[in-house]
Amino acid sequence: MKQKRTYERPTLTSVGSFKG
Amino acid sequence: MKLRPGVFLAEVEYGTALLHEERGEYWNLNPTGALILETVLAGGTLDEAARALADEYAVDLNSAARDVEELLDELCSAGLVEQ
Repeated sequence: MKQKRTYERPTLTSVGSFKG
Repeated sequence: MKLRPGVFLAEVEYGTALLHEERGEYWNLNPTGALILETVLAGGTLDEAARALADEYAVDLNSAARDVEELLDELCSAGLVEQ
């Protein structure tokens, strides 16, 4: 049987900003 | 589901970065979030995204389906994806 990976709930994190 | 115009993806060490070019803002999706987004951008349904999570990770299908729905709501609210 396939070994499953530890589950972490999905997260969307605002990291920061960026700016020729 | 597709990315909104001006939104780009980049694979990073831990998940996926999303860049909104016009707003100059960027976000990070952890690996489970990245798997969900990858599945729906490839044309998969919410159920298929939940199944992909449950196949790969130790999570039951009901919890996975709830998490898929919550993440996609969040991505829509952030203006990163659209139907």
